[in-house]
Amino acid sequence: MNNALPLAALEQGDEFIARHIGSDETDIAAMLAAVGAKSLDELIKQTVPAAIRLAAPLPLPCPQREHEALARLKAIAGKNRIQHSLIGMGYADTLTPKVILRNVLENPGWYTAYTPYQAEIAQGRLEALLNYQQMVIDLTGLELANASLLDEATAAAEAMTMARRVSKSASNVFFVDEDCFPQTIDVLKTRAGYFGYELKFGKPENSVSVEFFGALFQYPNDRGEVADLSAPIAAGKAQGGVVAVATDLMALVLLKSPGAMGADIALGSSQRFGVPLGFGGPHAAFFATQDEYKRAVAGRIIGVSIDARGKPALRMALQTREQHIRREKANSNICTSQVLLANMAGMYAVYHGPSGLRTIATRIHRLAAILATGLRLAGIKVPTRVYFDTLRVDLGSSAPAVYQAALTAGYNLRRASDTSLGIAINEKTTRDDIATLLRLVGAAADIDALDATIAKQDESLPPELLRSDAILTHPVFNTHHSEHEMLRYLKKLQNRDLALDHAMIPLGSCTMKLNATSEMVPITWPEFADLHPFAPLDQAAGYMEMIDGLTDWLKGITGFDAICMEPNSGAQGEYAGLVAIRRYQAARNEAHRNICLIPKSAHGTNPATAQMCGLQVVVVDCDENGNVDVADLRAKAAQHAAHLACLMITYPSTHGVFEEAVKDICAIVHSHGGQVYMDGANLNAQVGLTSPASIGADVSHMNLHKTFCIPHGGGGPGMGPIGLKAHLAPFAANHAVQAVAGPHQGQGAVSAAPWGSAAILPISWMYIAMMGGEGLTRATEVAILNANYIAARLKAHYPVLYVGSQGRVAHECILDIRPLKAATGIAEIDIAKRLMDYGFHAPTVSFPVAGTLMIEPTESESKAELDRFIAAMISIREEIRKVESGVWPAEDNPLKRAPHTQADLADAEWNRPYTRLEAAFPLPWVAENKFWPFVNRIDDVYGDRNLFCACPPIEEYDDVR
Amino acid sequence: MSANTFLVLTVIGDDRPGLVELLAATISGHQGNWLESSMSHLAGKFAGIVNVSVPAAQAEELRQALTALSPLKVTVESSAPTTTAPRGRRLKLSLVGHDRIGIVREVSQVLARHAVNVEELNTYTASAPMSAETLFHAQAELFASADLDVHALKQALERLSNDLMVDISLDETLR
Repeated sequence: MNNALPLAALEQGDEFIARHIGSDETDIAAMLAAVGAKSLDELIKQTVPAAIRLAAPLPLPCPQREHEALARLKAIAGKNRIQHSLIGMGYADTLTPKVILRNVLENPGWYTAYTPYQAEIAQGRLEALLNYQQMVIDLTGLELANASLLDEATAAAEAMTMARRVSKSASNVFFVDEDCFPQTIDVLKTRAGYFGYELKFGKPENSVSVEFFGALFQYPNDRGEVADLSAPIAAGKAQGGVVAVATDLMALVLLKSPGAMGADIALGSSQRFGVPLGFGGPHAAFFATQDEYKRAVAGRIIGVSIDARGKPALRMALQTREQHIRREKANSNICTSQVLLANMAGMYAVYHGPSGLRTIATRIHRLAAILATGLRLAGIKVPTRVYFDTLRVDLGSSAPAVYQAALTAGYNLRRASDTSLGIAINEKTTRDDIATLLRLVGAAADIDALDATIAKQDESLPPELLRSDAILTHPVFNTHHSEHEMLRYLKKLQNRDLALDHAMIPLGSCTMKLNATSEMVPITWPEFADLHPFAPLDQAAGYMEMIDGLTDWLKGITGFDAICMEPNSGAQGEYAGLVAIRRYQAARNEAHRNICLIPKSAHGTNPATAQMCGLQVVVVDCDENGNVDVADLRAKAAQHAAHLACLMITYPSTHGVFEEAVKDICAIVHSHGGQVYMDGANLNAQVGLTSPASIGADVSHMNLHKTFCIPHGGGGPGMGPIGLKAHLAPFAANHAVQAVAGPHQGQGAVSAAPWGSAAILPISWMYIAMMGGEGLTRATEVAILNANYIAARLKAHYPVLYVGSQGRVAHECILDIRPLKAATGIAEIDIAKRLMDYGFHAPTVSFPVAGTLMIEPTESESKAELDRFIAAMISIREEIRKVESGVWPAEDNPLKRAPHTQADLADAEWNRPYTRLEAAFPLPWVAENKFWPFVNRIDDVYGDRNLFCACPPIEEYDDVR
Repeated sequence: MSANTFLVLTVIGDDRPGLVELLAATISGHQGNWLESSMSHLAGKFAGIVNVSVPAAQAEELRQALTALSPLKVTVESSAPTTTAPRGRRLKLSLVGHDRIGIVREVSQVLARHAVNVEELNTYTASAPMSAETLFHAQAELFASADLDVHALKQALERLSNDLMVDISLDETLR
């Protein structure tokens, strides 16, 4: 027995590093040889400018083994105390059907997919999202719904800006129901400030005397009251205003819809349709409106089009609205939404169907009515007369005591005032809960007797407030009610989507790295999943400890002095960061600073965000190497010095290069009185080697869904916390309900929940805990190696567009397809679609440069997978050569006709100039793990010209199903 | 000193360095004054339109010299100088949508129906970021009568197709 290895090595403290990083030492050596570097160290020296290298290793603990990190996090999670929260305020506890929990939320087939830009390999979740839209359309009574927004509060803010876009009113006032949720009001105040809108508050019935361009009413409102809003809506519309209603999907199962009351917009959270509370998120917000306003809607809309065979096919519709195309003219900066959670909510409706939902909604209401009746019989004042699930209870001086007694009995009620409590019933509430609550205040708790009383007469929901129209009549909501049917429906859709569980997704700028199982396991632990965001903080000690730990680690990684966890997407992080800059400058009497410099190569979200912060965008040129043109930057910073607010810069650049001049660039902006905002999209190339703060950034967001392993969820959730230097820290977002969220108090909120999507923070916690400083640094180095390996192997076949001063790319590389297109007519989109036939997801197409492909392999892909991808790309180049040389006609070849489906191969008529084998099995190993695109190339123009954004009548699918 | 004549030149030729210099040298060689111009490179060609003032006595000579230029095809028209600014409003139009056959014609028909004069029109197609479908982009400077209903014009353009995003702003840059 060879005992040469010390015990420490046998204990494998760093085992996870080798699980996360795809290649072992041998493969790394082979890749280094291929790129012509002697060592990883030498490659990094040639890639990352010496001037920005960190002097010391990351100040992080040693890596922990998977089961050890899980045990440690479990112990921390155990410090959360899960009570039955009856707080309401837009968050209602729910029973996630286990078939959905395991097969969607806990299933990498659903959670590791990317945003469905490549629609042909995303038909499963596109159908799920279409179901979601149909559900929202049915329940809100409006014509068009998106899928989805981030949370109810930001959805309300989107409604406000949409109202401004479409309203013809000259007024600058947005009217807000004073009984909207407090966090919604908080976010509206922040957003309205930089747009320069005036907010006026009041009751809906008082809005008729106010001139406004838009209004927001809440239904049921913060007090739980339900009132017919038809009259104030009609009055608001008559004077040219656009009226939005924030509402509750479960209530709408029973109540008259906002559409029926004449509303222009309905919005709210779909959390209570089966999505765990998660201490505030992630959840999907819904947003529905009239068809005439379709151009003005923010967020993704799924629509029906046709494919090359004329069959129905789904894809994202009306993308010309969105920030990646319209930049500062976009409706909103939103990109990542909440696809995974929208899918869960849609599936909840599929699983329960209209009758099941009606039972659940009626039960919730019945229990609320039983509670109200029981309280009143005991002489307790319940001022809420008409309600769905939420009551205000006046208890006078005994309110604090009752609150405490309920707390002790396991219930979180809402402290509405010193003398009143709020109680909101949810899907988990039982008759026993109601009996306990009644006994707490000394009321009789004969539930059956109370039920019988209410059955005779229930005045809490008068018939004129109930809906009479049928909902969820589409077959999809009436078919999958047995678990087998549901299970198979979920699997059927999953099979249509290409996710990381099938192959690499080499999307540049999106960092589709491993989402390890051990990172995902904690998010559905009840200790994390079942906590209400506004629960008393002593019940959230585990969350606080986990968030504090993650905060410290992120500070160590980024070099910042403070972290704000509130922004629940990358775009939200950008917004929160720019808001902090504007607040800081305002505090220094420099509120006039309103110029934002943005390099030409920036992602469209940057200018869209700047616009939302009242900043004027000045574009800085890039030179022929793809770097910021420093002379142009210097000239523009000087020209606008008096009004310079900030620079937004991505590093390494969006062109995938470590620019040498980045420190000078930051210094130039600072010397002209501006602040530096660093877009964190490319942070994965910095971790352990350099840091945003040491480079010179004042504030930066971290895409936890890129660099720190939160999965993309098929288009969300994301998390975009920001790091700030000390001078900006006091200006980070805080929260109206939990006033401890930000590093400093007193600043308005940017998101509905105080710690953003807190429930997915354990993913990043686990990643950092298991990798330690050495693992994270190694990951960055290998990510850079992998990108350089791909560039080195492909550059003889496709020109690599930008490289650094020593010929190296950063963590991604751009292939220029324009010369090929000019010579052959084969475009980047054809290569993207052809990759599907090889079983790969396309790289990023036409960003940041039109006509290119941007490849980011990440550290998690093994050399074997990289080699398969490289082989596919080289094989595609050979196919293009056949078009070039005339072997295949310009329009009839496997590239232009990609992707190929089973329908193509089964076609009786095969009259193409290439074989079926060449079409679907172009390389020998493809058959080994064949992915079949479910539809052929989708016609985008048709879909937008013939816009249809709901579930198509079932007969349209007959030939497919 | 003789009175000035105004000439409008249209110019086209294969793109190569030195074309502008050649044109400018020819004009100044005949005491011509280059007033304003708009020029572009497109599909391997260099093309443009130039407004020139020249002493009346030199006008014919300049005309001949220009038409004799070999690498450039030049046409010359006389024009009267505009004395009073026309009454109306300037607008900036920006538009993006899926590219398709006939889109320029459809857009220009709508503009014509609203009695809008196109003073400058720049269009290009480009592959859309992330999704790579071909988009049509247009930026135009328009001139319209003061009573033009901008909202109605926007709606009419939007009616062309769902995906067409139209922005119209009043142009405050006076020329």
